[in-house]
Amino acid sequence: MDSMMSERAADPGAAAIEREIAGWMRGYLAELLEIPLEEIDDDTSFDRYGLDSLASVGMIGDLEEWLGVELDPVLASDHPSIRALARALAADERRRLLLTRRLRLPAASRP
Amino acid sequence: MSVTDSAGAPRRGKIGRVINDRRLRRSQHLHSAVATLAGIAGLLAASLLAILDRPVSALDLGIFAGFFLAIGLGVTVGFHRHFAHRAFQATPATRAALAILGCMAAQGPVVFWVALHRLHHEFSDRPGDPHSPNLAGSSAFQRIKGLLHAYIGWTVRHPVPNANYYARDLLADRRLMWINRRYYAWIALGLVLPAALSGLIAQSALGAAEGLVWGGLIRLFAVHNIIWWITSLAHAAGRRDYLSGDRSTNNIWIALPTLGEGWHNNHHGFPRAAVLSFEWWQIDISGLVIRLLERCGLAWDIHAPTPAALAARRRGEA
Ligand SMILES: [Zn+2]
Ligand SMILES: [Zn+2]
Repeated sequence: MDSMMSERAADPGAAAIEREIAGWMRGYLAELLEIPLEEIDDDTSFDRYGLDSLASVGMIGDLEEWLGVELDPVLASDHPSIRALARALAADERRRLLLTRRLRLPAASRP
Repeated sequence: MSVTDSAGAPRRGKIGRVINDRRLRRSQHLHSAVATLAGIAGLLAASLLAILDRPVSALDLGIFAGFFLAIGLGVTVGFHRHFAHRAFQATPATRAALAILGCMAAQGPVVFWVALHRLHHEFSDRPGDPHSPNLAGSSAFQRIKGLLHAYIGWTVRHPVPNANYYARDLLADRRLMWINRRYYAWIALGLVLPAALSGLIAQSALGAAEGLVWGGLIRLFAVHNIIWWITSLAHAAGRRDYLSGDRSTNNIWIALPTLGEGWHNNHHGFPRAAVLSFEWWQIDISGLVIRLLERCGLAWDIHAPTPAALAARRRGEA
């Protein structure tokens, strides 16, 4: 885990992916919970937001659709906040290649 | 790819109607297949018991009828009319009882069932409908293919509905989610209860086995089948009395065993109606139960279309 963290810190690509994903997730939670974007906090657990496991499975499904990569449906229970989840997704080196390509797509093709 | 979701409709912001995840699809379809096979295994076991041991007893049939009715009503009154369509309000204990009984049917946890059913209503008989018999084509062969799909094929092909899109009202209900999470426990309870009851009455282990087979497995298969009649036949065979924007039908032969759900054209015409009997002769067992719950003070706000609303949607005799 420690080696992964330092590797991430060394890779500017990982930070960018983390930022993009966290931004999407903030928008998602704001839409889902019908609260202003500014009230979404990256470190508050999904649980605190009232998302139970089923709602987070839906959220991961929508994230999967947006990113165009396969994700583990129960990812959000292992990484239960926006920051933790975005960081975990950016940490995997193989997935990082895919995500870098995917997130560089022109904005028009994003939902 | 991301502009429309797999149901073919425009996405609403970031929240999609369905979840395109292969593993989720596979596990839901596996669940359907296991439930269906368990029911068929029950039928085989009952035949074996009848041949090897003794003929089907009145106790077997009584246990079957009791659990069929209770769990069937959990699906029709609970999952369908109360949770999916909010056709009436009910006390917390009534809601819990209906949700638990419905879960025992092994047709998916309440939130899944409701989400898939709301998806059905949104696309009824149009592309995106998870179970329409009317989308395969119009030749005789295609009609049969469509019916087979809407009867049972859909159970291993349907998309995974997104509860965040279709069932946010239920996700916000903590008590209901507590029940939803324990789905498999309720299925087990739905098998153990008839076994225990039958075993106690018959005072024998064989009695318990018969209870498991009749009140558990065959009941499971029967409740699955009545739902499949609705998904297939109730969109194909019968009268269309009201404008509903789809091919749903009214059919008394389907309405009786499906506890009233066979007044399916009435239902698609007026989805919030709690009682689907719009004529004195349209027998709706689930509707009678809802009226009974109301009489006991357990249900209120029973939605019913006004005579003017009924008249406005009535189709001319053709
Ligand atoms: Zn309905
Ligand atoms: Zn229908």
